[in-house]
Amino acid sequence: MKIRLLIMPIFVALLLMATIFGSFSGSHKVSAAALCYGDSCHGKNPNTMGCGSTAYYGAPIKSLYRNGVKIGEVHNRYSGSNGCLAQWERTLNLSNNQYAEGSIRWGGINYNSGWQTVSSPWVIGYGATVYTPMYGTNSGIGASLNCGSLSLSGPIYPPNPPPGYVSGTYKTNNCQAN
Amino acid sequence: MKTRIVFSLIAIALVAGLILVTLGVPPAASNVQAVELSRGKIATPTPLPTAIPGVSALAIQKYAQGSKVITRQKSGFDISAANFRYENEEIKVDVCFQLPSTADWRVWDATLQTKSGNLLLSTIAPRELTETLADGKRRVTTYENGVSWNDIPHDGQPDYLCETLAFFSPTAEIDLRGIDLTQVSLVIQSIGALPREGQECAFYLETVQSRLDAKGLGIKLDCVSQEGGAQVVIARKPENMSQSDAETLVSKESIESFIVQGPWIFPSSSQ
Repeated sequence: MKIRLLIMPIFVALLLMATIFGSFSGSHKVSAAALCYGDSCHGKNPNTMGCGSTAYYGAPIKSLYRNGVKIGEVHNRYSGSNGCLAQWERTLNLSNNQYAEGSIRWGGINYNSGWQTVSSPWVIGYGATVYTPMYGTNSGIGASLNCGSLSLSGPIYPPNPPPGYVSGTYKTNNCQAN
Repeated sequence: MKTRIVFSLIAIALVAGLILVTLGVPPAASNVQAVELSRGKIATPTPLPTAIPGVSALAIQKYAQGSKVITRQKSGFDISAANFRYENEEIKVDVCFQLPSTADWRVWDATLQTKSGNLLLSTIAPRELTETLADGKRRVTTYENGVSWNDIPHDGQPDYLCETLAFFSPTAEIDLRGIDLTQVSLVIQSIGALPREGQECAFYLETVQSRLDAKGLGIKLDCVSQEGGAQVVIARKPENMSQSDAETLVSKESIESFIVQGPWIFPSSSQ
């Protein structure tokens, strides 16, 4: 009986330590699990599907200027085969509070088969971003046109929904193909 | 009675463990700035002290096209540049640097100084990226004709990024074709790693908030992760501080949280 009385507190103490520290070390080993892949990512958001944690820049980062001052950037973002196998557009604000829009377009020489868009209903601060839902296919990271713009005056929206397509000044100044 | 006591103690231990895990309290021995991507925390942009001289210079060799490689060290690590050239109505130069962490690094800001005036960044194009995968292999991603990657056995070398910086003239008065490319200087003011998608709120509520708290600014941030981005708001500020001033302070602290300042200066005459 005395032995049991001695062992029990030790057991409880060990269990307490194992529960606390074991749980901590375990939580640090949880891997970032992507919740979709290729086709199944299409139309879904990269942040909620866990795709951002494996994301990189997939095309030239396009600088946006207003009156010679850099105000933001257009990004093509992708998560490779070790993540979600999908891509999306992200618009970065590099000025005071602005509204932002962005789009990723694909298909044909005019990238006008389909698109995903984003438009911020609120102003976003310096260094903040908005991003579109994903364009994903099981065949890989395909060709896309990524566009975005920023506005001080109010919410803005991507122009020319497919089958329309972007061209001219907007395409030159606001878009980047991957 | 004794059995009840024992079971009570076990229950208390389990509940205590559960509460601590739920709160996300780090283990006492852990580095509070540890990279923990899976839980939404972002990598600190502070360069690791393991920067290995020569990695950037080695990486850029294949893009140098016979030109001399210029390497500059600042803030604890090297950036190499090579191949100043006129191409598609822009002036371009290639750069490579060892990745300071697993965060999403890139050249953040740069200018090209010429005798006619400064040229502005048009694009920053990724050329080659290496990353160490979870299975220990090394992924080499290239961007020449779309995104393509090749997984190879890891050679133990640090991961690096190569980019092409393209510059344009902000005024019609500077004729890019007339610029003597042996007399220009690339100035990389900073490199940076924005929080990845889904990590924005952790960035603002942990990294930026802790910087604000450390300075005793009395600003409290709130952040909601939504589809398409995160909405960051100033939840509380001192009464005598304007909203604009508070936003400026938040911007300043957030920028300083994700960039590393240079400058790294590369005179092309060194080629």
